[in-house]
Amino acid sequence: MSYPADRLCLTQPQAPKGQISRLPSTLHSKRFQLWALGLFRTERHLAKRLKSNSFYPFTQELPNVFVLEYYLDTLWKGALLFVVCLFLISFSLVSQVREQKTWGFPAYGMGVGLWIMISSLPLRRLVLNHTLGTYHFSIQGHTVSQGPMHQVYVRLALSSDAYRKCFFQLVLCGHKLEPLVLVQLSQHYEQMEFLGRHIARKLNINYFDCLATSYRHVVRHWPLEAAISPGIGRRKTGVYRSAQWDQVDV
Amino acid sequence: MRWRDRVIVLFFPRGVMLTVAALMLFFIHLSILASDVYNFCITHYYDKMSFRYTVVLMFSQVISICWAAMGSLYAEMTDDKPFRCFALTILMLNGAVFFNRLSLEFLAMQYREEYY
Repeated sequence: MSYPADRLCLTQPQAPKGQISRLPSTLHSKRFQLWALGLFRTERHLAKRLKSNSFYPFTQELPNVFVLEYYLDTLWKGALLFVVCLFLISFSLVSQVREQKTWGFPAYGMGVGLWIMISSLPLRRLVLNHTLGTYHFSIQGHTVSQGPMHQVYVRLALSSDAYRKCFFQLVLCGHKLEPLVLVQLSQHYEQMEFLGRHIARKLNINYFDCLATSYRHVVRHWPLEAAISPGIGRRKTGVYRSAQWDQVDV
Repeated sequence: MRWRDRVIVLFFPRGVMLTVAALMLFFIHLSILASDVYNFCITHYYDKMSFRYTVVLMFSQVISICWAAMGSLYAEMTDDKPFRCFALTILMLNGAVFFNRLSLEFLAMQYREEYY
């Protein structure tokens, strides 16, 4: 039996060599690509994106260096809130209800919208550098954090509603990074898992399942201490090593 | 990342902005409360009190308490002890202003009640 998520048709030929050296002009339109998540059949939307750019949401600059430049989607949300509240205030639509003055409500909305808009205005840039084995996150050229590659991962997040229906989200997370939602809520576990593993394999980063302990995690990068300490050690090599050390100690 | 850089790119640790916004709202509410008390007890110009803004004021105070609580929650997750104390203090100050406002409103209602 074939894998159920193969319906997404991700098995595409490798990108031609010329595509690797992407022009910077195409990068500009890609800054907003995380905003358009698609309302229905979100995982199919992502699959379409992956077909056109196999390193989605990143772009490959050098053979082992992936770059993602983006604006947060709170930019348009804050701008929308601000504009709506400005409209309400300027036409004084809800300025008075009976004896009470209520222009404070849209004034609040304006302040909050302005703050959200301004705080998400700076351009974010996330670089995964596999030649150095580090990631680098900066806002408007100011470094926020950088660290080893095992701190960045793709995760399948689970949330359930009142009827115990499960919804899954694919999120790109990391230490001191803003979580980036790649796929909004979807009910198809197999397809989401397939997509998540595909993205993680292409970007060569860790993938974690929605459960904390699961056989479906794909761990490609370990912290340096994990090779030494027997507690977190890898499945078989760690056990062997600790056993050998015990013998040496004796 | 230094604080100057943080201000330039507006990238604060989570919860700090909520606490600061709650602090600003606290000062605004405190000044309104002070002017109300002044007009109610000393000058007796009752028309200058903020009766027309009661709904907005109550909403704003509840919002301020919520922000302070969320900021304090974020602060509790860090190991920075002065920051935790600061966030908790602001939460308590906001709560204190809310209850003082409530008692002032009850006093004003008692005063405006009409007996026949």
